[in-house]
Amino acid sequence: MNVHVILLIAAAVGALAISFKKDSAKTWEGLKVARSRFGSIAGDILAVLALVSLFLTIVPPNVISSLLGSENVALSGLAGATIGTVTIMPAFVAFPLSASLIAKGAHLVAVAAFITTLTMVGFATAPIEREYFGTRFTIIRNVVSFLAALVIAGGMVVLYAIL
Amino acid sequence: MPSFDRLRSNKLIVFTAACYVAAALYDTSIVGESASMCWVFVREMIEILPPVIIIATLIDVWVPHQAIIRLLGSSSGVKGIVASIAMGSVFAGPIYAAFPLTQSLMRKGASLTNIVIILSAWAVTKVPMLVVESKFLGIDFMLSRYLLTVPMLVIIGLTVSRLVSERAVRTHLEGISDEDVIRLAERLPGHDCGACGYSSCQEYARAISVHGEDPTLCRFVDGSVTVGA
Repeated sequence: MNVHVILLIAAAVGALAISFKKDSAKTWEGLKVARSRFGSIAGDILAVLALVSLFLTIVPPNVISSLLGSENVALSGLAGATIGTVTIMPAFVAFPLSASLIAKGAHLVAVAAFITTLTMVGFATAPIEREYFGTRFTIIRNVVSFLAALVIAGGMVVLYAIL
Repeated sequence: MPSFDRLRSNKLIVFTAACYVAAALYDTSIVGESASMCWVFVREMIEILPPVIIIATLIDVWVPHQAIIRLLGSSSGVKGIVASIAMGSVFAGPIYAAFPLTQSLMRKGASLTNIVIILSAWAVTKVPMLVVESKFLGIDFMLSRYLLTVPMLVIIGLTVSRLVSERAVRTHLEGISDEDVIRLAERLPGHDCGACGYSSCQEYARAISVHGEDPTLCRFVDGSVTVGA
């Protein structure tokens, strides 16, 4: 388990302990709400995770790296952003994968676009986001974030040259 | 048709199951491979989602509206933006874990701009992941990506809140309030008999609250199941 996961769990347990000390009845009520929240979303999240796993199994990694390594930098950046949009994966999987993609010849811009949309733009998580915030919010936030990811990736070319 | 509604409210799960059946018919080894990949994702979900939801719920219970409005409300200005970036960046985890937390904060009065900033920062500027990113992709890569991303978070937040009406999002939040589901479920007998077409009373309460299901389907309750009654 990563350090941040342990810290997160410790924070939740600590907060619960304080809450129980202050008012145990209210805390039980809260835990009931938490359980219903978890129950109402867990099924959808599991479905999304299973779907993404299937997608990543069917599309072999060398297809991805050849898309991200095309001659045309702008095109490979767009490909990176698009692949990042349709998939989600934990950051601790994404970074090693990106490093291996670069080693296989993927362009830096494409990888930056990939990492940014991977976590910020979610085609797969959109049904869940919609439950929480509504359809219009979900569409607009994802489209705006996708465009922002392209800007970030483009800026990488300039900044990387200076640094 | 309650059973059809159940299918509809679980359409993501039904769709995924169908995809897996199709894949299995094509080549069974695909299913095994993706199941083992899925386990990595699921483990992350099990570790991160419950503590985040507990923290979100405790915010609901304890943190006063005024405190959140002062820190993240619509007149919190630059201070609110900085607080949002900081708050989003401390957490590391998949973005779906951020939805319950940001939803709680918004119910307590955080502005739409700041909610979007927290969500985006949660996704892309993770402090716990700084080291991992520079280890694999180099410190130059990590630094330039952060330098570019932080200002973009603000631009994303401001743009989204211009294009989406904050009131519409708030109306949506009221519509699926978890407290309502709980209160409705308390009106139901809890036998989980399935006569209404749902597998449990909890499921039926959720269907009434979220999907506007007919509230008179329970044979143990005279008339409608409502929050007020």
